[in-house]
Amino acid sequence: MDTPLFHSPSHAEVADAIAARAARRFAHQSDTALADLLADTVFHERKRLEHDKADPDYEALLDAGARALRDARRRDVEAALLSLVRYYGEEIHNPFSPRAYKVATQILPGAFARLLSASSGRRLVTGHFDLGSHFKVDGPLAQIKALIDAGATIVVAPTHVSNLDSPLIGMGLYQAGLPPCAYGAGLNLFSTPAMAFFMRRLGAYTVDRRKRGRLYKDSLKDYSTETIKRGCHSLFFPGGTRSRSGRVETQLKKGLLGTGILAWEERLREGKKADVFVVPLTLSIGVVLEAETLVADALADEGKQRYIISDDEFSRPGEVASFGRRLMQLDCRVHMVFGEPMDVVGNPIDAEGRSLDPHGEVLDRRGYVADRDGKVVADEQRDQVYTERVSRRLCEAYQRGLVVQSTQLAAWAAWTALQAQHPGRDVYHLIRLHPEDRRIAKVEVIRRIGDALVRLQGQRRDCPSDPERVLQEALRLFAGFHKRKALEETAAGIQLSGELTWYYHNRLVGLLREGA
Amino acid sequence: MNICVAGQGELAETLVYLAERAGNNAVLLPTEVEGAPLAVAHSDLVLLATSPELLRPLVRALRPGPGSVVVVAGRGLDPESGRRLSEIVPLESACLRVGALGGPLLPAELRQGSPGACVVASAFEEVNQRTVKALHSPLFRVYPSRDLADVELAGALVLVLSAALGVARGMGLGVGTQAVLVTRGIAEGARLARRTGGDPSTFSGLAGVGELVAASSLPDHPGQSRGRALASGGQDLPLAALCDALLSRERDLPITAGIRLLAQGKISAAQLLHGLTERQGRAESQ
Repeated sequence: MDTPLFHSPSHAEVADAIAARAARRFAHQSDTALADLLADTVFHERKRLEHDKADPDYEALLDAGARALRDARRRDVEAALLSLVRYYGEEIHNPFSPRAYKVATQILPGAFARLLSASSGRRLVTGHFDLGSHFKVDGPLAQIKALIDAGATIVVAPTHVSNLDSPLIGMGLYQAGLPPCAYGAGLNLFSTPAMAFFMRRLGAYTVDRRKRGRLYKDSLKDYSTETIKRGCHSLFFPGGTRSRSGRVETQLKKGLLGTGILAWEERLREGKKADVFVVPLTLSIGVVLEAETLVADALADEGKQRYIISDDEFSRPGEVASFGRRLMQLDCRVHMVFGEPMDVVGNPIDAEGRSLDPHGEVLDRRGYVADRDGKVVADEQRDQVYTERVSRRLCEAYQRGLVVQSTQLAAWAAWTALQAQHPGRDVYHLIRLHPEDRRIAKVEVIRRIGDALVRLQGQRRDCPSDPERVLQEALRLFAGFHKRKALEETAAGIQLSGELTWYYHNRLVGLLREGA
Repeated sequence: MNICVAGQGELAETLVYLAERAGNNAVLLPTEVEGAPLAVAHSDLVLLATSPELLRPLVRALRPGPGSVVVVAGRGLDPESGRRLSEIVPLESACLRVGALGGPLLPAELRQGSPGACVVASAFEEVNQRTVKALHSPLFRVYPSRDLADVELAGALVLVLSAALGVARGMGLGVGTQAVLVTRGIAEGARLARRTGGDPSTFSGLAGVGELVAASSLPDHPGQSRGRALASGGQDLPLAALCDALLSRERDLPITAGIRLLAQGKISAAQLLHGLTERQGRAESQ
């Protein structure tokens, strides 16, 4: 499927486009505001570079910025800002390579499958390995494809639990017959050379989360807006980072998500008809490679501050491959459920991409951003409120798309049983209990799984019917992953690890907590 | 600006009067007239002055679209769902830019030319700006706020608190008791705001205290009339449902919980009073 991503612009072209956007914004800002913006960038970046390795060119740009601030002439300040923006633009952009895409889609799935099944000599030789059997992609795929065929640009907004999500989604999109998407990937994900090689050529743009200045964040948003405006399908993880607690996202970051509406408005202003739609995507997997690191971060006080984890299980290629092999051997499926596409203010759309009101009547969505004469009116604050609505719709869709896993159900049952044994105690107290006090009778865990299944079936969810089998499967999967087992069968009952049990239980909080 | 006021009664007429006094073209829209949706589509602002019970059918009839800006002037919560009234507009139409008015809008006084004020709240700055432009004049001030949820909940809670004042008056209780009800009612408003994640100071403004002072000073206030009726027995199930909707957001609202039981006919006015006074003491700020 040909997509605008295949005709990816050069670094210089992107840098020009981003700088032009920034220049238009700067034109409306006061001298003081511009100086503040530059000071914010120079201060934060120089402070960061006391510890991080720096590109000498970048340091020179920061020095030039500091000089411009000293002289305080608007022209110099603006020039310094634009130089930095151009640098950021070049750094963020990675030109897509159709050739690498062809290689990746034709050769890599087989190679990946063989790598993952390498422990099975027979399968390695015969090559009989069905990657698709481990992947289940669901949702209104025909509608999404039809929208794309009609010229729409889609913004895929998935849940996020693991760094493996991006490659898994890439494979899922291909398997579903959907085109590749541009997506932001943290700088730490480019640390493995082979991974970096393909990521740079398959639509990943570089996001350096260490850069916290406003200028960099604005440049990222400008890049995303430009990409969508050019018709490149995009993918953001609107949760911003991997869910530390294992919970499905209930709060989303609006920055990149809001670039969908900006791009759409720009297209309208230019008289282009092509639309932008947001597509929710819920990923469900029974086990998470980085669960131990993530949950430790969620529970640590400093966890709130630790936005980037660069030393987790994902940073060790051997562990990733081993995890993948176990995933396949233990018949652990990855479920990807696309939700109903929506317009950029959160309305449902019909098969032809027309927005619908709550009564199912077609509406003219241009009215949300245009005056009565049809002229598109810029209003950042208005668009933020619309984006908040989109994010609420996404969170609702995530819950609907969740495919309940045996590991989560068993962890839910065991953890709630532990809570019942120690009423009023918080998570920190429960995970610090003596191991003997973190044991639940097997029959009680099975009973609670049964109760949960009844509730889930009441929500018309596709669930297994035998609680005992659910527990057995969960124990089998937990035994095959992680250094510590979330749940383990002992002679005295089901042993809870504490942190990991809480982590896996959290995935179902939105579905099974009281009142849900 | 072209302002369209839809609804019935004194409040609707007063909004037309205020909009005209602010130098705008304002029309009172009879909802049964054909072409109402067209008039709405050509308005810069639509003000809905109707009771919670009639809001859904009114929105369905007017069909405000994506380009409309709608501000709800009624008080209370949706009887069907317990939702705030401004939430009903996007549930029944394509309109997303919504807001709500709060504060003591007393038609008789305002039309006599007495100075007055109200608050308009919306998540959209544009809605607030348009409403200020629509109604603000030398004799009537309009204060914008982003705390939409709390402005609406304050209006709903004042209905309950004014009923409590009516009960006290109906029982012949003195000014001191009424003062206690007012001040503890304000504490309930702050607790409600804290629970909903809003700004506790919103209830101290026009939408809460402002409206409560007006309600307590007017013996014929509709809320007080309902309270007086309850003091002499009977039920008021819509009022009980309103209390339920507030209590579903915050349980620790003793006056509201008492009025609910009274309105359900489960306790007498004397039992309500007894229940409130025999509660365990706690710091006033709690």
